[in-house]
Amino acid sequence: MVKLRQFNSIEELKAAFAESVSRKKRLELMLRSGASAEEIKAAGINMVPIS
Amino acid sequence: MNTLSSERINQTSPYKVISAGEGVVRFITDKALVYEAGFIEDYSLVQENGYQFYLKEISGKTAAADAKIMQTIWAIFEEFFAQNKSVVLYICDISDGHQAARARIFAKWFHTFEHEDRYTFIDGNITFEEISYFAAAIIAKSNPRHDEYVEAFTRFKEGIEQKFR
Repeated sequence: MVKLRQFNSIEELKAAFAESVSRKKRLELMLRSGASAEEIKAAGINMVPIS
Repeated sequence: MNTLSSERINQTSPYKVISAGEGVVRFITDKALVYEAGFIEDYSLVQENGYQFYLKEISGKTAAADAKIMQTIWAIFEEFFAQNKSVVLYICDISDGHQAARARIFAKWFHTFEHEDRYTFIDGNITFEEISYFAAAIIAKSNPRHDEYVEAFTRFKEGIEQKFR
């Protein structure tokens, strides 16, 4: 069974959206500053590996 | 999560992608724009197998219309969906008030893909306190759980609308 998150308030939904956008912006900043794959992972950003 | 292959992407991509560290590829366009792309694990809406697409032009040059960019992005998506039974989510940034435009561009991009029929695109939005929030999901029809995902997202949309409108 596919599980989607349940939101009990609009604030929870807004926070989830904000976190998603923020993760992408954090990745961009880390890539610009030359962060390694290990540093990005340590920051809680998990990327799909590409060889 | 299965590894994506730049080599396989390049079999169909008009621009050659090169690996730029684990998880990120880069490609350079005919106008010398440089794009960086990858997929980030994302559990904002789903509890498993959710990813968002990362795409950024990093040269600072002004982007111009270029069909080959779209085709290259699709080659990357096709490799992602071929290797992984996951869902791609798109959550629009609201920080500059341009979220509706972002949602339109993303939907337009999806609907211009020649193999659009291989995927299901589900989008939705909700307006709260005069701010609109947009999100979309792409699910491959080859995903063995495709119908489950579609049903779950459809129910999710209805639930959000009933609860928060």
